[in-house]
Amino acid sequence: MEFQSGIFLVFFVMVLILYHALPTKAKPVVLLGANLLFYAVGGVQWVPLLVACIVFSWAVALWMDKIQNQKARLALLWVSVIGFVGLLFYFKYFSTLMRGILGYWQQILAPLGVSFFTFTILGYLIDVYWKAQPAEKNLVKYAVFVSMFAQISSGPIERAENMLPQLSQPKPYDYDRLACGFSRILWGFFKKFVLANKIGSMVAVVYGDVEGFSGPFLVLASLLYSYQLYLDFGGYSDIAIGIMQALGFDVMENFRRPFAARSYTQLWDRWHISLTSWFRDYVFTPISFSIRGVQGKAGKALGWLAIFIIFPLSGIWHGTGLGFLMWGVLNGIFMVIGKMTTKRRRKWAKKNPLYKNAFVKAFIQCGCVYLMFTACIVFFRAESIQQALQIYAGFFGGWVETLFSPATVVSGLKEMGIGRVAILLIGGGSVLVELAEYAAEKKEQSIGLWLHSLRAPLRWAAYYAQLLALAFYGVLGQSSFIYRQF
Amino acid sequence: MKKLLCGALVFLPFVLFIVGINYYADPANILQVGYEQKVAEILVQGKNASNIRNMDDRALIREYAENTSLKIDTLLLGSSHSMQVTKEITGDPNTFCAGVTGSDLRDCISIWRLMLQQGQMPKRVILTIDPWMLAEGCLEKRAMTDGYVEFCKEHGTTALATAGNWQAKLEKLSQAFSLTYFQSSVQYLQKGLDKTRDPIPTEEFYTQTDMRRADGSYGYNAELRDVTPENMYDRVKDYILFKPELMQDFDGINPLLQTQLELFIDEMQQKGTEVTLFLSPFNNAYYDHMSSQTDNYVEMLSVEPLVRNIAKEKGVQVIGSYDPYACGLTQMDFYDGLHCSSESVKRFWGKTIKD
Repeated sequence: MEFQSGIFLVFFVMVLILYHALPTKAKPVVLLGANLLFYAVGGVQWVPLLVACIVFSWAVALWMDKIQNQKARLALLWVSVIGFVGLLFYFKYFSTLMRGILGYWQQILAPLGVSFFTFTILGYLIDVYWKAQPAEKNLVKYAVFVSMFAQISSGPIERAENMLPQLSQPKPYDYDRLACGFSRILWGFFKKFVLANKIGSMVAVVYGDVEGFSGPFLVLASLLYSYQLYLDFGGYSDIAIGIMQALGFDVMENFRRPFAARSYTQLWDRWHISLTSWFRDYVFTPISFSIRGVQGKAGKALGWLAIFIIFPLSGIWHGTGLGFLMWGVLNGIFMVIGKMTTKRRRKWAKKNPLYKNAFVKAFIQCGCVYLMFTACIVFFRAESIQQALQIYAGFFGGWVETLFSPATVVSGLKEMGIGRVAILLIGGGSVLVELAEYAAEKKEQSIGLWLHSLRAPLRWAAYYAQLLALAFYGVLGQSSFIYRQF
Repeated sequence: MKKLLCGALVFLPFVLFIVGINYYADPANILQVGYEQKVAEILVQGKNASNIRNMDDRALIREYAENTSLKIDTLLLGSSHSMQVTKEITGDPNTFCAGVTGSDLRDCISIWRLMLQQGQMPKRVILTIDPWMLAEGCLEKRAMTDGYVEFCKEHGTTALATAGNWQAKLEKLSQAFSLTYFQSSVQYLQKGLDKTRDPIPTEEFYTQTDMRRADGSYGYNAELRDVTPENMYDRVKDYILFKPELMQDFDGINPLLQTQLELFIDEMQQKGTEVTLFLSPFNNAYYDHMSSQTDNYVEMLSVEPLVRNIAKEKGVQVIGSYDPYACGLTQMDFYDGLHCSSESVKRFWGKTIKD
């Protein structure tokens, strides 16, 4: 059930009405029913697997909580980790691996959200092992936490310490909270379906015909892709967070103006926060803890390795192709280089005359981060390693011929679908997105709350502008009644 | 609650705006009624109807069947593939193509039964068999099922997915609120097409616009008929890159549908009707792609030998083939990945393609 479908709208409104109308005791049951129905629509054959994962992990956590023997608890944890990582491996990577070995293997269909719910479960089990989180005795509440329909397909990957208490004490209906939720949902739709999808169509033209475009266009498409990815994923997260907020839940933020980052470390504090923090808390922290006794250069090197390793793992988590792994490796390299050179760069920054102007300094720093991010993202977007390398090589060609020929520039932009309307829409829309999110961040408010807090005329104007943009320019698919059929 | 209602009411103008534009423009003729009746009125007069928009083919066929005075001797059934077969191709001036877009087997049986109810008794039925006609996953939401349900009762077989088409009706109604339909409505209004909405009677075989001819065959608009090697590549590549939904839904040859096809042929033959099976070829580039794949395309193409076996058992002629090379066609004989032109059909019609 896609968020933009009519059937999801009906489903969500009905869940909302039922959830807020029924007494507190019934609320988790309503949510569980909704979650399972949502999941079943995505593939009813996977419901038993999801239920089995939930029941198994719930039982393991309770068992871990009961037993005192540390070795036994650790053994239980390892069995669970191997089990769930094995499950993820089987559905996501096994067929690719077998194809690499044998040349051919039937593609294994993966259950909806397998990457997300396995990580949610693993995070919970590790927290229970560390005694940072008591095991949840109520199976229904735990099941709701793992299978939440708004988040199961694309996150944010929530933590038990945040969600379980909210499930135990659901908030009563509140108009302002509901309105903030809907503001957030609308904002997400604007970002994803108006801006991201439009940029995506432009990027697809270039990446679909790499040989047909010169360096400037390859660079432009790659730069656009970075922003498209933020708008797309960030927009989706806004919708998911807005849905949860409308239901009365405060969910973690997943993106915090990532391209306002002044360093690569800052970028990863602001980008896909739920996943990055998951790897930090459950991979980096344990590794760091285990190497804390190692001194000197070896200690430093191991520390950098611990930082590095998160990124290839994150790459693999995103997808099975080597491109995702390379994306992770490059990001890891940039992070480590950033950490290694922090002191030196700060020294140089003090001597840099350009940095005397705060705006110029911010522009340069943010620009460098954006370029580095884009340099990595080519692997993420390209269809293969070969295509990625072809694109990198292509970056350097055709600059003189293209830029000194206005007709070539115009025809290339036209082919990409970049005309006056597109420039106004995307340029203007992006500026509005950045300004609004900056204003919200300054006030330490979520974007939904910030929009809802605007004075009524401005608020309604903002809502109507987004709705009209969605109506006229949203890329939502095609009406099934319009295409020429068989 | 008051605040919630007031808040919701503020969005009402937006909703009314969307619904209003969608209803007024209605580019697919799904919200307003009467369009199919206008087209049918032209056809029953023996004229061709040009300036055709998207419409409910099934409603058109019902209107035509109830109002025609033509004695149909050759009846064509099937999807849009059947609509390229004209009376000139069949050689029978009393030919009518009752094809409907997205036709499945239930449509064919129901339309046959509808014709019988209206007093028609065709001497010949040409049944177009598309691969997805035998797949349960490809059953068409809009399909006519009344006659099919009766057919299944009489033959003691299970009727598939006949829950009154409420899903299709709901989906139609929901288009009033649809933003994607709104964008099509806006484009429709920008092109001024609302001013030239009605079908126009004509004697021409082809016009600038889409048309449905008096014999039920379909003439595509000038833009689609303008086939060049450059635009053919663009038209076919989407089929190759993005597998059409109908083919994604192909979940194998359903034994029940196969049995029902055989029973349908038997029923027509028992009524003294000569049955011919028509296999419409795929575009060469698309066929090459399909033949090289190892997914459900394999089973889709295996429908042809299955149909030929059934035809042999029943003593029924088979015209055409999914293989365009066997039909002697090139890419330029097609409008897109799936639809070949009437002129191309004429070239292989009546020839034995494969034994």
